[in-house]
Amino acid sequence: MTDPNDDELDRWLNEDVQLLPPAPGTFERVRSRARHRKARQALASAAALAVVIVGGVSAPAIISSLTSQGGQEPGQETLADGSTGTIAPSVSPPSTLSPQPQPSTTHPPSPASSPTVKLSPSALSPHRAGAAVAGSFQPTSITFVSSRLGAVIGQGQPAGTSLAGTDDYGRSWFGVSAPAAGAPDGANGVSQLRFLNEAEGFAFGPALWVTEDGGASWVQVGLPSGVRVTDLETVDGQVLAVWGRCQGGGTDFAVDCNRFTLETAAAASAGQRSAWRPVPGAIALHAGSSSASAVLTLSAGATTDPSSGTVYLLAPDGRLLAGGLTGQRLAVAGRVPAGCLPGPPQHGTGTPSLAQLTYQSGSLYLLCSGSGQMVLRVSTDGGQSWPQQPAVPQHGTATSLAAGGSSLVIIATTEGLVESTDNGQTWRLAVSQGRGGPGTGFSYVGMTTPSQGVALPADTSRHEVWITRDGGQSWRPSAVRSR
Amino acid sequence: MARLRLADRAAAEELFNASYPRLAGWVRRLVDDDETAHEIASEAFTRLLARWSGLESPHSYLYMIATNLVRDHWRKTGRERKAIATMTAGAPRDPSYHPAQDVDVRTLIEGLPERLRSPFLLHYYGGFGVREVAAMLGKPEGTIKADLYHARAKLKSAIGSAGD
Repeated sequence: MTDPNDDELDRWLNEDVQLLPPAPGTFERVRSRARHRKARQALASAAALAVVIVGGVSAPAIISSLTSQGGQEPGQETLADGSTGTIAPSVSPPSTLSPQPQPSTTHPPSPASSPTVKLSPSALSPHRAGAAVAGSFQPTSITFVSSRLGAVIGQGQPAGTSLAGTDDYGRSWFGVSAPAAGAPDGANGVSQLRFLNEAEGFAFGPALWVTEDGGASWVQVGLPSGVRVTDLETVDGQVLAVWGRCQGGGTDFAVDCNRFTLETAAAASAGQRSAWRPVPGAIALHAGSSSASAVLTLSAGATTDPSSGTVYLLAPDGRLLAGGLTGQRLAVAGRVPAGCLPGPPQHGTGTPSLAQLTYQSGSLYLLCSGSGQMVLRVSTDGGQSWPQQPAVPQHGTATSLAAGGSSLVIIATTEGLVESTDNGQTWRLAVSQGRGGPGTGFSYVGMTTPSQGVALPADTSRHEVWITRDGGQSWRPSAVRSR
Repeated sequence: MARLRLADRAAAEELFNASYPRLAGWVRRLVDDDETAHEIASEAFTRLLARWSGLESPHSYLYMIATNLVRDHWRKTGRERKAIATMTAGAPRDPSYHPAQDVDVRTLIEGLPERLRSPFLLHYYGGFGVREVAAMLGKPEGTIKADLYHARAKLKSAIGSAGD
């Protein structure tokens, strides 16, 4: 005789599940969230491993505790704190320190809390394979996506092109997988780096490589023949890049260009060539001379409307083109004064040598070096007019310009860092050889927050970056190496 | 590498398209509203894709995640305590009960001890065989069979009590 309670249970169990289709776009949202989470987990692993490397010899207990993090319950994943985040390490560690996740057969999980899903060794090993920074790291470009998280690209030993990441704004470094690109050499190699967020990154100049997983893996974008990426910026899910048709050799990859086009892609699909589109109004801009270049800068939109930001492109002929972030037509917003044309790019970077452009808090800052002297101009009307600020004291040749907060302006030069805290009214030499700075000055300076900034010595063999944490009042070198 | 990534994406999208509606519907029978079901299904897929490349059995992993997320949801909403009270006190049952009203049986399932609940949901409800459930939970098959027997017995008993 059938138990009626059995019937009732069976009726419930056998009832058909009514399908609930996903809302449009759900898969893309899920995929994007997964990418970011994977990258955060990678960083957490990398940061943890860095501790292991330091303490591994004398503190095996630390290794054990970190190793045990490999086996997580699927429904109970522990995510890294949002303030840290991304980038996956690359170089294989000493074999004695390999913190592979323990297979369930070695440490059976408790039935209630750890249902076992077997992961193949490759699932986590790319992120846990090692955290050592490449030896003799020579940094050429640096990028930050938060007040803690950033990455630097350069050449190291033995791999060549190498990346290092930091999750404490340059206090410590760990290795990150790098594209197999090599140093800039004509049409090949990469020298510059940007990350849009903890997952999506771009190594460029002259080639273009893209990662969607915080550097764990890289894909090269197949550029049209003769095209080199000379500048690239990211904001609000978009990536914009200056594609130049150039013929320069060696590290002068951005020299002898005859025209430039601004291209854009959604960051999530930028690894595919077909995702890139030329931006109307900024197509085939004629160089005018073999030493011309173009400058790209972006203004981020308001927090409530990120896409309201603006693209600014200083064309080789001195026109300032401006438009929306998402590929709308650029229009002529103004024209920079004579003597502020971008001029020939600097060796190995693609960065123009005679005009630097940056945006901060509603103002466009233009540093002109064409006359042989440094002149700062600040436009508060979107590039229509360019009032000249008082003369900048001559401390070498300008290489890079940064603005931060409401009135901080910093110029990297071949002699040091020149700073103004009053929007260019007065200046001081903040770092120089006489004050312990690198003898050949700096190739780049940038501000991440009003107080945090970074500068790269022109002499990459110093293996260091310089950091400020007090709005440029003081700068300290940070050696890019494992600790 | 690019080809591999594209293949991964295609496989992930194929699994998503094939499995999401049923998974979300499966979760829907265990929670109160469509929105929560979609949230849990989306989160389960997010966690799946974050570990995608190394999984031997993505489908099992997906349901395992969803089971744990449902459990967490129950905990948050305090259903578990209520269900335990129902199991022990034999709360009066709605005479108009129909199996389509999942909430009654669901409440009883929520009240199962955790060691019995997961195998029950995965086997009877998720449709996984005993061997698969054993692999997913890291238990011997015999233990799973015993857990299923005990889970079923407890539910039958609870249904009987509720119907008295």
